[in-house]
Amino acid sequence: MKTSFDEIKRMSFRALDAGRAPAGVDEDSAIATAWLEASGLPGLKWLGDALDASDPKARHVGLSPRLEGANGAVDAAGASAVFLGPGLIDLMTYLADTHGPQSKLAVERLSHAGFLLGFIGQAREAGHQFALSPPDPDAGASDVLITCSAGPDQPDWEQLKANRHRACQEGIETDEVAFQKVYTYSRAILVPETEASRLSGAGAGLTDND
Amino acid sequence: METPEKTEATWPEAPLRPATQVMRLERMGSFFASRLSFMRALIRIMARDQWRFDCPVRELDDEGYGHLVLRAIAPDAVYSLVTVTEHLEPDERTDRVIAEKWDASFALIDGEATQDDIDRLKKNIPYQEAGRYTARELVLSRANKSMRLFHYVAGELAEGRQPDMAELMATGYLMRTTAVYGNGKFGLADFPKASAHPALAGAFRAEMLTVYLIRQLSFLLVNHVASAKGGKKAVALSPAHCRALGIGNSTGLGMAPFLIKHPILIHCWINARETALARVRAVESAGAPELQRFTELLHRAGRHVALWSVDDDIQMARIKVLRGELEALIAEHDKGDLLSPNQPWDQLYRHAEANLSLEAQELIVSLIIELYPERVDELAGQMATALKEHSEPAKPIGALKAILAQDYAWALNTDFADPKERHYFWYYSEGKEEPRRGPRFEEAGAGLEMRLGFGYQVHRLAAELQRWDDDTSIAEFLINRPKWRSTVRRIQTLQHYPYGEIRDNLLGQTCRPIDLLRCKLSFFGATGFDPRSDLWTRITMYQGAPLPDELSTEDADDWAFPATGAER
Repeated sequence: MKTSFDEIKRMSFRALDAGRAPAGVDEDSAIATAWLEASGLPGLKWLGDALDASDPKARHVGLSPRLEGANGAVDAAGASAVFLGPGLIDLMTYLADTHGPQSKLAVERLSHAGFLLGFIGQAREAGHQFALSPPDPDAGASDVLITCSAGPDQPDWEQLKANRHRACQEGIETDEVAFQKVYTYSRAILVPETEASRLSGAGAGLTDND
Repeated sequence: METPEKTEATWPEAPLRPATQVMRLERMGSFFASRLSFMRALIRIMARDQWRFDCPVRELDDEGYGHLVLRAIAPDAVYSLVTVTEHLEPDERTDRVIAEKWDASFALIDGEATQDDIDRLKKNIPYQEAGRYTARELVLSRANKSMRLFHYVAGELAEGRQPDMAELMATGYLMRTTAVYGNGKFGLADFPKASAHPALAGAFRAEMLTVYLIRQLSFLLVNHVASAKGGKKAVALSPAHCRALGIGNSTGLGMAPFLIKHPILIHCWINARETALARVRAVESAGAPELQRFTELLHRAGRHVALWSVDDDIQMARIKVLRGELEALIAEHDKGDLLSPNQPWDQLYRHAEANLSLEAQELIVSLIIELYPERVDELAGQMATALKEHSEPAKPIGALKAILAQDYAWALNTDFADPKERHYFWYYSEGKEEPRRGPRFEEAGAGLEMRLGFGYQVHRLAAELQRWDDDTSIAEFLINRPKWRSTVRRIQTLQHYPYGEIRDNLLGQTCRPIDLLRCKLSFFGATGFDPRSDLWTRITMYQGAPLPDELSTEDADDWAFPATGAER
């Protein structure tokens, strides 16, 4: 089905917000989902899988990174990149800003690590040269490395950019099953209708036949 | 996104009004449209580039039901408004989001509307949010008739008479929109595509073009119905009568969260207006043309406010005060006592700030901005942005605490332990996702509230930060305490965009959402604010604006403070 960047972002945000993702993580991961889909990568599928797989309590996980000079390490303990990605990119940005291009961040046991491409891609647009190794990690808990220099097996960033340009002009072709799954999650943000709330809505009780 | 309209000149500026003064709900709820408003800016561009308008498809029955296509033709682009009009039973006509049917529904297409487009959209736009749209479509909208005025005008025209001008001015429109959607909703084109043409590069320009076309459609429809009813006896609505009419709009809570969720954009809007004011206040002395123009506009503003009458008690009381203040200003000016020879506009503004109501102060701002297009108009190009909120993860927590101490006294000094300060929560209802506001301690659903209580979040964050060392980086803090991500990022971002934050508690019992609506609508260029409660308002758009065949006239931009259709 054809959709738009904004529609994916809005729907993903609601799904994450309703799913108790931390405030701000929901915003960033929603944008990353739309960015991935516009680039031709399965952002909605990864997001839907992450919402399926994790306990909402595990979405607020706080990590204590191990920092030694330009090197950082974090054990994600199986948590998803959908929920940890924004913080990991912050940490990598901090390392790069303070220690330069030799900085590295090792992340152990990270689920849906491919979702990190959505954050890394945006960081690259902002001027960072971050790269993910391996570039196509397994969906299960994987060990990955974020670095400041791309290896030979990186995604074709230019092709992803061209995909996003085409998506902006023509709309984003998304997998309908993945879309519907996230849409269903997004509905959980809506407050059930009651007669009282309906009658207290803006414009209630007035005629518009004037 | 910065538009190409860049300044060549550097104008002197008086100091900007501080955000602590401007970004208060009561003042924002007193804003008036100005020459920087989006409708005004779009009309100037259409006039400059000699846009043409026509109606290549018109298939209507005698009651005006069927479909049409209106075109806006720019030198290098075409936009087509596909329209479907239907019969609506009175009990189906509601301006609320929860409506299921409308008198007319619209989609603005980027380019010519093909028969395939028309066939596809006829099956979708009558269902609005329940339809599907493509990147061909820039805007989706719907409108209901002002039943009384539409039938009165059609009846008069059918009898060969022009309607009474006072009747037109009192209502202000034949149709009112109840939603104007853009920016990718329901599969529509995303903003980068919709704003690719320079004319539509500003905020809400595609939406404003849509509304301008809907205004034309309302004239076309009423003339069509009158002609079918009156036959040879019927006359068309005169240009002066058309000018007296704009398009109405009913706006509720859906508009309010926008101001909170797009703080950098809001900073750009407010900053442009404040910069315009600062440039005009810096004028050392006024020339004869500016003084004559001021006299004209002051009198026109007086007539405009004299015609402004609403049912809402609070707003009506404010209007009455404003009327008296304007009468006094006019009397003083007619005696030659109002303006000083040196820095006349700065002195006038200072007088207003010291002595007059907020309504009068903000009307004076819009009025004196009107006098200096050469200083002001290029600022319209600075009212859109692609910048997004961003955190600074390498900064230490101590720097964040310093920002809180400097900019957030309004939040830190609020007693959120008092239930009155957390009285309301804002949410989307299952009822067609209608945005609503409910009492937190009485109504279920607060766990799903929208994130609009930023002051409360700041208050809680400040308490959390006390437990952290000042030297810890924001990156380390946020990966350990991810729930503060949104709040920290907003604080770090808005230290650079001070007009992006409203310095009031939106959860509090005294918060009036109507203030948020008026602020935003004033930037659209709306007039005739007619609050129907604290939660929603009716307004008029494009009242007094030039008709398509008047865009090339010298006074095409002269429609501030509309008072009669014949004024221009």
